[in-house]
Amino acid sequence: MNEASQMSRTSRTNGADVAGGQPPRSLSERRPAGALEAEVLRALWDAGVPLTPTQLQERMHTGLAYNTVHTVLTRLCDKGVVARTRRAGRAAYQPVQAQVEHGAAQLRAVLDAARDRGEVLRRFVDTLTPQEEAALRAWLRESGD
Amino acid sequence: MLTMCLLGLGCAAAFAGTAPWLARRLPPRTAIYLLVGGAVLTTAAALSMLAFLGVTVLVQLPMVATAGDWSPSLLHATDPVPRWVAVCSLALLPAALVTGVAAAARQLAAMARLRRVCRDLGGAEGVVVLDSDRPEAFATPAGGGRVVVTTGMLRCLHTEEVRVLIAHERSHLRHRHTLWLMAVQVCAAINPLLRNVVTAVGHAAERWADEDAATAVGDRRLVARTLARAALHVHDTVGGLAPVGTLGLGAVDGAVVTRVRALLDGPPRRQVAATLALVVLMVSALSWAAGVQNRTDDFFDAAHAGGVATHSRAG
Repeated sequence: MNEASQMSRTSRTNGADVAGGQPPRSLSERRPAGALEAEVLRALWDAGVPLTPTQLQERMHTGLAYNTVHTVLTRLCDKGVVARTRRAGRAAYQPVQAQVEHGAAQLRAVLDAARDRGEVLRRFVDTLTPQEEAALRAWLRESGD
Repeated sequence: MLTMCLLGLGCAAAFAGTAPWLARRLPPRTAIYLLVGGAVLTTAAALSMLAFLGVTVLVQLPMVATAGDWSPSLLHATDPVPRWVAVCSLALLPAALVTGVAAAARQLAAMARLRRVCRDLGGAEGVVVLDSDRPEAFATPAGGGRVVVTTGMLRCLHTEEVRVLIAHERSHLRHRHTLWLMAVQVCAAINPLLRNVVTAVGHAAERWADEDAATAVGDRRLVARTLARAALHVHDTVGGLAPVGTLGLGAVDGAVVTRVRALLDGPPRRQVAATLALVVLMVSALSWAAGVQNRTDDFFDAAHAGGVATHSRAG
């Protein structure tokens, strides 16, 4: 591994949440749907009260079809992030957890507090070596995901 | 006595050297028990041997000898250890203890910092969703235990994959993987040879949580896929090195690939040989330490008896 790429990696890693500004490098064609999930979740957080799919559709001003909004809500429900309640006889949705204000800052605070100590904070996945990355991509392609 | 010490320390070193390799062949739960148990026992054995060696010179100080009613001349005549070895042991012992205590204090401080930060997070049923594009998912036992997931991570996973992730992180909390890791970290601070054992315990903890997630969702392949996709997503967003030519899963070494491979291989089987090898190393380190203790006792008894004999003759 050469030194230049190592350095650029370090600086990008330290940049923490700048990642959001980067254009998404597509890994799966389902990612746009995932982005939509985050938008819907944010809209629900902003509302602060349970919303029906129609209300949500109006709030989001993105010209989304009712079915799309409904599908995304169902998916968020299945993920356990959003809960279904009833409002005036209709299904309404609200986030399971209130938005943690300044999530990005909070995340940084948690990571800083742990200072990457593996024993107090277990991460789901480790960073990949280039060989691992290539092997995993190839395996996912083969297994049809 | 010196030979016994060397054999005991040799066993401790052999454990540190071979345990990470042997543990890879074991089911993760067994691996953690044996690795952490072995690390604690061999460290205790090594420390006690240092203490026994050190005490042979300490007791020859005139003040100590008088207080214990030992004959200094007999002690000197039957001294089973070269003086310089005993002095070195005596110096090493407090250094080792201080390093161990410092390591434990650092971990507790990190835990206290985390607890303060986590207090502000709230979280239903122990899962906190943070609104951040940076894909992160982790478990921390601070403040009763929490699983933290960012919207950036949720976005890249399918519904059933989120279930895998939560089941995995909950397993860390349920089985107190943090405590095992803290224990082995403290041992490694005292005995730097155990550094690789720490990595092995970390890996076994991940494997244990992967197995629990596989049981929870009933699909090993799904867990493998979730790991691969989450790792690649983190890699793509946070950045990584340029990819190289494609190799098969079997040809690559790395934490995530090893976990994926283990999941695809099927449930872990009991491995009697590897388990036995680790237990034998642990037990022999301990028994050599016990041997050293016996010799030290004999040494004192002999000097003491001599002292008493002199007394009675004088009386």
